[in-house]
Amino acid sequence: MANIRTENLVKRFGDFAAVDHVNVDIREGSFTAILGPSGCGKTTLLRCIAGLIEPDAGQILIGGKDVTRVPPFKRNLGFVFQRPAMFPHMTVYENVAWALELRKWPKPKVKDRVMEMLRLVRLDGLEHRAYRQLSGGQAQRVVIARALAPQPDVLFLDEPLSQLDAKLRDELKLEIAEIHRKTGCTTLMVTHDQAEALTIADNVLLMHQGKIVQEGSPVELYRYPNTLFSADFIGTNNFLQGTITGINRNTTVRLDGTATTLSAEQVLPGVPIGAPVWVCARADDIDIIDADQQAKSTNVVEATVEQALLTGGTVIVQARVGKTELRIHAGGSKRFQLLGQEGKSIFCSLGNISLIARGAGEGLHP
Amino acid sequence: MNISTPPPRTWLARNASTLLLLAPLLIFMLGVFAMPMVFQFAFAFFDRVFYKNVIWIPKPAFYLGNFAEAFTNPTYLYSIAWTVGIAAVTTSINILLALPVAYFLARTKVWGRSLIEVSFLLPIFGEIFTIYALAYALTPQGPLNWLLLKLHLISTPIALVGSSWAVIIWMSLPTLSVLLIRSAFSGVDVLYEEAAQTMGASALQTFFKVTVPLAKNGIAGAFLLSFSGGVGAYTIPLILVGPYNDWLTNKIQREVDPYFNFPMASALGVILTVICGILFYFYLRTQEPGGER
Ligand SMILES: Nc1ncnc2c1ncn2[C@@H]1O[C@H](COP(=O)(O)OP(=O)(O)OP(=O)(O)O)[C@@H](O)[C@H]1O
Ligand SMILES: [Mg+2]
Repeated sequence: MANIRTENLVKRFGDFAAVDHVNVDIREGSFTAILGPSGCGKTTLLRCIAGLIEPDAGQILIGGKDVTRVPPFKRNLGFVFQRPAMFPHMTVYENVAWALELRKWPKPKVKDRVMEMLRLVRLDGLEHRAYRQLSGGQAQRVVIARALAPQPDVLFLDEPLSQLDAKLRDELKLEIAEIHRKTGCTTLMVTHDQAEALTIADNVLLMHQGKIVQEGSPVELYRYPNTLFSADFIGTNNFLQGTITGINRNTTVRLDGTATTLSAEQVLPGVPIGAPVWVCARADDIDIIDADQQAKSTNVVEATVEQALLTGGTVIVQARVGKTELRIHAGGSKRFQLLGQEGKSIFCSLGNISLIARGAGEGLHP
Repeated sequence: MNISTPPPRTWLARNASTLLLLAPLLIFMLGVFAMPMVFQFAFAFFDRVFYKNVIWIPKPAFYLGNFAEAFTNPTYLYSIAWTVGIAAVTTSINILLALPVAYFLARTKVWGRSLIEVSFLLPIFGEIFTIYALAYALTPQGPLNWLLLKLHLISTPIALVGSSWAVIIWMSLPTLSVLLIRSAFSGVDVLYEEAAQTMGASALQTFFKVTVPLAKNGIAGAFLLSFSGGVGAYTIPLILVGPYNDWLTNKIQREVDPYFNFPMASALGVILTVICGILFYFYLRTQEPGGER
């Protein structure tokens, strides 16, 4: 187990910086997810830290030791690739034992450890199978067992579930979380699936165009996005223009062009009263309320329904507040009442809103 | 509903079009390769008689004397052992030299890679030309001796041409094997090598424990091809050593001319074929269904 730190890590492909001055500080024993859209440099960052790619500048420290120029085989790590990388010329047992044999573990100890690992990934009994006799999910579990067997300082996972079907992905996702809980090994996982990151990680690095744009717990990322990119990337968000009218423990905001005031449970550092902000309201957090419930609810706005579509569990409502579009994912039994309400006025409780500073001239939704 | 089942068709009827398409090639292969082998095999068991005290002619029989002779007469035995032994040693050197070159070609993007690769084919397509080039290179006045003299490794030039060393050098130099092994290495996913490195394997360990085993089918094929080329080489010893060399192919030729001993020549040829056949059997055994699903 070890912590991971990078200092101004840069990796360029030609002129293009795939990893652009990245500083991360990953706590020992944590489960950190690197989340971001396709092509933002997640894999490149992970492979740099693991030593599979040499960075152009910056430093990597694992367990306080500078490993920037140390080849991967001396870094004591485990790596799980996107495609199952189980060696096809070895059985399940041989795959898991291989790293231990390289480290010259005594035979009986190897056997015990392999069996322990196979039990951990629930593959005991399949140790003599060859690669072609395993399913994709089983092969990926072999690779996880193999990576963890030599007690690595850190475990890297590069989209380990992306090639599996949805059901298996959900299963293995929880299994990976469970394995992390049992082993306590510092884990760094790349994913572009936000649900995956939010479910199993205790720390999320949000990456955009080679840079880390936000770091925090899943709840922090979900509730207090610090940039429009963060707010837009995770979940479905609505962006309304507002102006700060009061700051104490909370911040009060007036929606531009209306008399409606809203309250956010956060204070933006260095943003004074009178400053323009983006008010972010998550489509999933918005509740439709009856007119007489206004006083009892928080952050109520009046909106006009433009379209309501039933998708099964939720009704997706396209509404309008002033000039701004508002997207609502309505749940609960009331959702059916919204169908066929086009043109009607409704009251919405925006729930927990969050604020992002907005440049004075900054216009409509990004 | 009444469905009338069509009458069952014979194997011949079902495969008629395939057979028709294959026929020209099959007939050609039978005529050019299979027939001579059948003749050779039959000849190997023929006896011979001294016709009118002038000429030995083959006499149809089931006679094992040729094979008995081949395995008891020290001249033949030596020739068989020499041919197979040299082929085994030179093929091993050949493959060992080819491995790093092939790996380099498979894994790095060097400028003019296809040119380099084609140059490995030159000794195959321009065989006579390259043999003479090598013969010159190995003469006492040639570049190899010059280099060895300059490096003070030898004090007088060594005569490599005319000795078996020239053939050993020729056969040890990797040519087609480089290309065969390169393509085998290209077929090994880099993913496995990266995985091995993250598991704690050094570059050499990765190469010998992951890359080579995963490319073993191709490497075995290259070995087989080099080996059969080695035992079957005829022109090379003839040019580089001279007509009275120890290679079995040349011995076979001498059985025919001047001795006119077709049965003995055929028996020796069958022995050579069987040796390659045994090796081919082991090669097929390595080609068991590979790792990929
Ligand atoms: N070997 C390479 N040569 C040139 N460009 C590269 C190379 N590898 C990656 N890139 C570029 O660097 C950027 C980041 O790639 P990377 O694979 O790290 O993205 P990612 O975040 O993992 O994306 P994904 O979610 O699709 O896997 C991409 O724009 C990609 O085109
Ligand atoms: Mg990736």
